[in-house]
Amino acid sequence: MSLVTHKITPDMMDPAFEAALRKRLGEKGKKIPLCFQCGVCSGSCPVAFAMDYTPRQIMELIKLGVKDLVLNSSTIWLCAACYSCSVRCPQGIDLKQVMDTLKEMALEDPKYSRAEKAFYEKFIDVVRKNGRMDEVALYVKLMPKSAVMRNLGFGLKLYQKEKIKLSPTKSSPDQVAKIFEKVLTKRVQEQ
Amino acid sequence: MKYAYYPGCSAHTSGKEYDRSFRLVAKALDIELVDVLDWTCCGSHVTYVFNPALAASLSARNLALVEKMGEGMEVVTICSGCYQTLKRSNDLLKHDATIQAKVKDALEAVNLSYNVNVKIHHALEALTTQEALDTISKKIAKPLKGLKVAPYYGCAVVRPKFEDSFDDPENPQSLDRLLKVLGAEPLFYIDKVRCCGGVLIMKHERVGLEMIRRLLANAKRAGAECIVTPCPLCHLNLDIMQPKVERTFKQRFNMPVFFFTQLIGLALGLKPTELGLDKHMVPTVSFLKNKGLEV
Repeated sequence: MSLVTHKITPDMMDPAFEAALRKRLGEKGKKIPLCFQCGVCSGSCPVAFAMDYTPRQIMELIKLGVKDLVLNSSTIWLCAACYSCSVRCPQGIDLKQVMDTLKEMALEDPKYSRAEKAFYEKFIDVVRKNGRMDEVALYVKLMPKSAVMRNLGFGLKLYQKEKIKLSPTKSSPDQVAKIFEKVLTKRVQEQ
Repeated sequence: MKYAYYPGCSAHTSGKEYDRSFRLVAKALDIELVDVLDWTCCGSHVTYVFNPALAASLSARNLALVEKMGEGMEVVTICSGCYQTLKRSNDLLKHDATIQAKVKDALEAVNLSYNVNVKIHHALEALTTQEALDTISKKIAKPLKGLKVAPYYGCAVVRPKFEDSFDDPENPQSLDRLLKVLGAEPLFYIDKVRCCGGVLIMKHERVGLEMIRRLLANAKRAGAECIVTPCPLCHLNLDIMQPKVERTFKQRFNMPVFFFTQLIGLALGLKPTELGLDKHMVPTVSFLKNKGLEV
């Protein structure tokens, strides 16, 4: 665990941040102030070893309103969405949902765009185009060209084992595209 | 018993043998599977991060198709990710008015409507009901005697906890019970519900590899000869990525990883190739031969 310790100063605190997060979380947001820093979430987290801030620290940073540290943290992207913290939190806080919502906020604000953004955009793109997910199409899209060449042998082996396909399976892409259009246009109008 | 069957996207790629073995086993146990025609992506937890209304709409399209298949039709999926996502969407559609309105709108654009009447099951749930276990135990042709197995559930099949979850989020037992019925020995496996990293392998490879390494190392330490899982993504990580884990950490595991449907199939006397056992990266056929379990 690489613990980055920042001295938090009042100018880093954005009082609107916690409120904005709570609003997005709806009913679940009401529980955020209940965190008493017991650390069960961090103790349960299988990815804590790789995070710059543990889930417990993120909860405290949220309450302090230190928006930049939270949305720039590796924590929100390393969260593997396993729900271990959520099922164990003695205060009933759905931390996994908190992490999801923090990701959503970071994805919307160019200030916090990181390399991870590409993953979400490309994932959505594969679904929009094909109507279905294709892990390999995604994997290749995410890889730098040099890495694709390096992994050709591995790819061939996967092909022989019928684990990958050369062209993705499509299913009702027109319907899926319509659903995308409907939901996403509506969102733009709301904003 | 009859279910609408939603295989999930991985059934056409990395989890092909899972789909194949599930269909064969269901047939052998007189469980009728009716394919959901033109099914599409469930939305997955990735779309949920990007836009919850979009994810719920993608789920609802499929659930609307199931609803159209007949009153009281229940759906079964082999993918833990799809299971979790579909259930999550059903939950939201019951309790969240904002999402309801958005999903209704989106489905209208494709001439569908969904009344949230579909019950969602995981294949592990469908094949471990008391009735299913009784049928399996009657039909066993080749008990998996002496096979020491680490029962690995992963996350999405047991978490989060829904009102109608079929197993415990911390110490699930369905897979353990099934293994006993098959004649195998389910071991106490400390990591049975510990996350494999999921899609982290695609965006933070080194972290993903370390998470997989731990699962393999603890299975070995528990005395396991193989791992069994009900999740296609866990299987991808534990099996397909295993050679890379071994290279990265210079640690040898050679740990065969089965889908639970394949073990049922073997015990029922189905052929290893029919069950797609030749499709794994870590050899399973030679392993079974050495154990004297090959049919």
